[in-house]
Parts: sequence; structure tokens; C-alpha cells
Amino acid sequence: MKFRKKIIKVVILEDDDYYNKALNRYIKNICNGAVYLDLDFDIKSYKDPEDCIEKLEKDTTIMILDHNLSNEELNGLDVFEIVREYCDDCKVIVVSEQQSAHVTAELMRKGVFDYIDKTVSTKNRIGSAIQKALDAELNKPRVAS
Amino acid sequence: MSARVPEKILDFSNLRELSEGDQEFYVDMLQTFRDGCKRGLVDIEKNMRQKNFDKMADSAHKLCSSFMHMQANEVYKDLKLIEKMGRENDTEKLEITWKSLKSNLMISLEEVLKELENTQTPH
Repeated sequence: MKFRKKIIKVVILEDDDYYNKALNRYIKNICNGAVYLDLDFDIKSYKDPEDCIEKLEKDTTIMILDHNLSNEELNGLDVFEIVREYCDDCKVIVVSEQQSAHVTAELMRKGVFDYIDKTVSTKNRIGSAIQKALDAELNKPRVAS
Repeated sequence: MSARVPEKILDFSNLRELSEGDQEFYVDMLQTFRDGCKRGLVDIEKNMRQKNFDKMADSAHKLCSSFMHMQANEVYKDLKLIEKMGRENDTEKLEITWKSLKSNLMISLEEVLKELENTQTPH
């Protein structure tokens, strides 16, 4: 039986130019069709939360979300609430400056898939969080063509 | 906060590793860093002078992640201090912290310009 490749839609929302580009690069290195032979990756990156929400697809698989967006209307938590309402099963990985333990706990309680501090080891942490999200996705039943 | 200025503020090794030899990406990231740094310098000072302390904190916060990526620990500490002072409206040591931060941001800009120069015209 031939299996259709699963499409993994990854959305990055980070409003800092430098970190947005760095995240984009990290994610493209990790989410690589040559490594994950059963998967195709569709990676989109945004700096503006309104733009991101407008173009958000219902079947987004993973979102990398900056917690501290410098948008007066929408912060990271607002975006998370919208994603949770709109998307079927999007795993949101929040990336932010070091937060206090209670903020992290609150985010996890609200259903964030993972939380990562922006530190020098962010790359490795994002790698393992995405791996965990992909494992969850790969363990879902596949659609036969 | 520290008045002592280290010899080199920025460490480009994380960026080099991320770039994996892709010079175009490396240069683009250096330019992005330079632009963000310039913007941050202007925004922090402007918001500080206008006593928009919450916005000043936001401007400082915005620079933190890129300076963390460049392993610029002294700058990072000062940015966090300025951010905290802005959030808490605690301006007692703001001028002196800003003086230290501004000086380090200027040195960072010089370092990144030099790195750009060296990268774009390799010897």
C-alpha cells in the first residue's frame, strides 16, 4: 500500500527581525524532508500577528510563537487563544525571554505544547520540542491513497 | 551593570554555526543585527528622554534576544536592567545604566560593521 506524505504546516510568529530569521533557519534545518522521509514541510514565517492570524490555516500543525510581541492589540497569549480556537490540532511552542516560573506554568496550563527560553541553547531546545511535536503527529493514523 | 568594557563584546560563533558557510545569509543576518541595534539605540534614548518608560522597556526587551544570540552578556544584562527599570518606573540609576549600555551598543555597532567589512571583502 502506498502512503501519501503527510504535510506538516509550520508557522513562525516572531516580531524581531533578527530572531525571526534565526528561527526560520533553525526550523528549516530541523524540518527537512530529506531527514523525515514521510513528511513534507510547509514553513511560513510572520512578524506581524495580525498578518499571521489573517493567513493562518486551520490545519496548521506547529506554531512557534513569541510570547512578548510588541503589538499594542495582540500579545502572544492573545494569539495563542485564537490559534487554540481556530486550529484543529496545532501544537504551539512558545519562545520568549526568560519568564518567571509562574508565567511558564500558566502557559502550560492553558495548553501550550512547550515553552522555550531564548538562551544560547534555544536551538537544541527547539529541536527537541519540534521532534516531540512531530512524533505526536507521526503517531496519528496515516491516510492511505 | 558594569563600567568595564570587554575587549570584544560580540561573539559571532553562534551566527557562523547557524549560517553553515552560507555567506549571503551570514551577511544578511549581520545587516539585520546592525539595523536592529541602530533602531534600538534611537528608540531607547527617545523613550527615555520622553519618559515613556514602558516603551523604553519594550525597546530594550526587543534587543535582548539578538544580543543573547551574540553572547554579549554585559549588554544583555544592561538591557534587562533598563527593561526592569522601565517596567517598574525606577529611574534612579537609569542615566548611569544607559550610559554604560549606549557605550557598549556603539562598540557593538563598530564590531558588526567591521565583521561585515571583513566578510564582504575577504583577504
